[in-house]
Amino acid sequence: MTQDAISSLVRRLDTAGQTKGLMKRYYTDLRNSREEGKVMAWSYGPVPFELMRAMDIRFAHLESYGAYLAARQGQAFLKELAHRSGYSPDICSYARLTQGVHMMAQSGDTSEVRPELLIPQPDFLVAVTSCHLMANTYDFQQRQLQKPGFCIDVPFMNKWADFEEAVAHVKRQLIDFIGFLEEIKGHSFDYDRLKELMAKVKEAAMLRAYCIKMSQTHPAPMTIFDHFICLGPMHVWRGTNESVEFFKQLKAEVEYRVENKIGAIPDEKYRLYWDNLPIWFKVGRLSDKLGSLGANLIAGVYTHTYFYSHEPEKIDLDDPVGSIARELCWITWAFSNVEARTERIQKLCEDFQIDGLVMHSSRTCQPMDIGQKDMVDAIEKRLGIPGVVIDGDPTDPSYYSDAQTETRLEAFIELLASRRR
Amino acid sequence: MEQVLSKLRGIADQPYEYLRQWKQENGRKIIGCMPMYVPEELIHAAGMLPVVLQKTDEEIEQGPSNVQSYFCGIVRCIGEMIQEHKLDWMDGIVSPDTCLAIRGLSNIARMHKREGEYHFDLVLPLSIKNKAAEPYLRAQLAKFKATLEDHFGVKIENEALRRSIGVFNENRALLRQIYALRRDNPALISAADLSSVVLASMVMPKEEHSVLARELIGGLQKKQASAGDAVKIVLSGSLCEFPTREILDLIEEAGCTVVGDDLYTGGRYINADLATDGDPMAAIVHRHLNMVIPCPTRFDQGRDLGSYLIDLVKANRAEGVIFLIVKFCQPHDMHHPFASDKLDDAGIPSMVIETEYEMPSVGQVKTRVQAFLEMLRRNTQ
Repeated sequence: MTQDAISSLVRRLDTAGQTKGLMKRYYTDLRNSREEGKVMAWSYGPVPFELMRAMDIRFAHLESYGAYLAARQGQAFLKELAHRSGYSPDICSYARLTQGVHMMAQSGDTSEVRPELLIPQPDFLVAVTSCHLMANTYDFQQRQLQKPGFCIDVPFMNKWADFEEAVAHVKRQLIDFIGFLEEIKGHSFDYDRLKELMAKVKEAAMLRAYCIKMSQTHPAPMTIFDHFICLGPMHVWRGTNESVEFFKQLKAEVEYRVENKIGAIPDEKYRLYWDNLPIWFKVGRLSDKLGSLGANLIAGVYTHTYFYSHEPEKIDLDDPVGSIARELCWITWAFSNVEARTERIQKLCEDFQIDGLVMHSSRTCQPMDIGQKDMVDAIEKRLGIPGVVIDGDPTDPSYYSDAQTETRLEAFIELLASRRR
Repeated sequence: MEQVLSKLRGIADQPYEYLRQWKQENGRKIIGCMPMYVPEELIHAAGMLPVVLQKTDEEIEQGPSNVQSYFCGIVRCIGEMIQEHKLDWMDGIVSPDTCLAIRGLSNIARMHKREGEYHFDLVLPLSIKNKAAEPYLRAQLAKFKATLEDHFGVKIENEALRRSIGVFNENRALLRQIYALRRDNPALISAADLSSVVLASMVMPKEEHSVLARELIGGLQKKQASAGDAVKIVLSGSLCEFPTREILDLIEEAGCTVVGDDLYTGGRYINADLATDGDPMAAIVHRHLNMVIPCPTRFDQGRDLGSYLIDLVKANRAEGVIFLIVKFCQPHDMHHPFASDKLDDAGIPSMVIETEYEMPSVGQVKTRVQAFLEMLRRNTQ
């Protein structure tokens, strides 16, 4: 993922460094899928990779790929390509990078990108509507490429009572999607293989959940930025031995830190919550800035909700498709329902003894932003924990200012200090 | 006829003023529908007035809002009204989960709702050709109906629903008749007036609107007018909100005349009738899953907006298309390039006007429209 210079103040995790090699391997495999005779998909949103892995289908996750390319070759050319295709700068920055990838392939001019970073055109496309904007990107590209497509619709849930109905609806679509995959591959789906895969997903997710929980100790052994960087193995690598091994190592390293009271930052005074996606291009600088103020970002709704982080022990190996449907619905529930998200934040604040909320208001990510003011008000009222809103964007630096953000963070830490006095 | 138009214009300009007064006089319940696809017929059949919530500058103080400034006008406006309790006189709100901004807005409405107020998220399928979409939508509509019945202590019989569908179909048919008159002689009614007439139908009881629409049709049929050499264009877009009279007027003042549109306060709102025989709930399901005008908020629709617009341009013998895109409407932003490329391929020129909550320099927009029209004129020479 895109990130800036590695922080000097925060103690890096050795295990986290391995994600780089894993991601490189993942993209090499994708690049070689044609030569190796593999079917390949382009995918958008939190797609059920497990189902494709069980069919031995390789999958590019287009928004991650856009961000990956941007980190290595700069993002300007991708955004320019998106802009030339008619995408305005108000559009989700991930979607613009994703559109840039597509437009580059359409133009046939890939001279901006080192050949080893390129991936082939897809045999089919698949999206999930958890984020409508990624589904919009899918819709555009599918129509332009004229390749088979499948869009899994995850409905909004107004109240918890709607949850099971949504799961049934998504499960039904996943079964239809399996039928779609069978048609593409020309053979039937191997449910035993899926079961084996899900067992690995479960094992890795439980290891990861354990690592997350370790930060309930003082000082916390990990920062939220470590969690962001360690997402890859739970994302495109989930369901593999590599993923399980990665989290075993991470667990050992985190346990060592806890036993020896080694915090992620040298002098932890304030424990903060991070809302929304990371500001990828400022991960290092922000963690340094906060570290220098004695503050560590411990928990976040994105890292602590997505990627099977919620009750992984409940993954049902006898109903793997149902468990995938449940995860997809949980994501939408915990993100899109402002009350559910507020409750989730409250729970994280209590579990991790949080002192303050840092709300990243990400300029082009409307779905994650709307209602943030109401969430801050609710948490302040319920727990007396204050919050600060900082303006940024996951990948577009033009919506970010170092000076403004850092001044706000300093003032916020000052506020936390004064409350303690 | 001028009197009728002026009345409808007044309602379109100040919908909330009209509604508060209407409620005072009639004492009936009003349900606010967030745009765009709430099946209002069901609310009508429950004996209440369904109203499509509108963007307004009637009483907004523009203070610090719970909705960030990079959201579209309608979402910011309704968000502010909810926060300031300016909609408390309504009896409930229904949100059809149109896009993620509307979804967020619905969340805010639910968190701020008063005791006893009705609130429902009618989750309409996004991927409308999925096999699972049909049974799911059926179940959602049944739930919507049941919550209306429970909350307001009414029973919505199929017979009543069919009657309501009849009332709505009739109103839509009358509006389409005005569209047909405009197509044949665009000088009969301005784009701003026609869009205001549609907007008024979103606000007032359809029965009353139909009476006025009939009068209007009578007047238009007798009217003598000529558009001269104005360039014929089609307007597309302005999802969820009225583009404002200023914008529509300036487009026509620049030297063109609008012969067709798919605006939300226009063609999109009035295009699809429901069958009056058979199961009325099935008819509502069918309408949503077979949208006549492709929508940027849906996926895998089969048909695309570009092809629809090509047909609309041909049917109305227009020269070009002007897209009205609401600033910060991401679904439309992302859908639009494909549609405009399609038009390009068919040799139909198009341009985009971005419409903002607080409208910037109107002069600049006018200059751009004039430049576009010059290009269209050169094309036809």
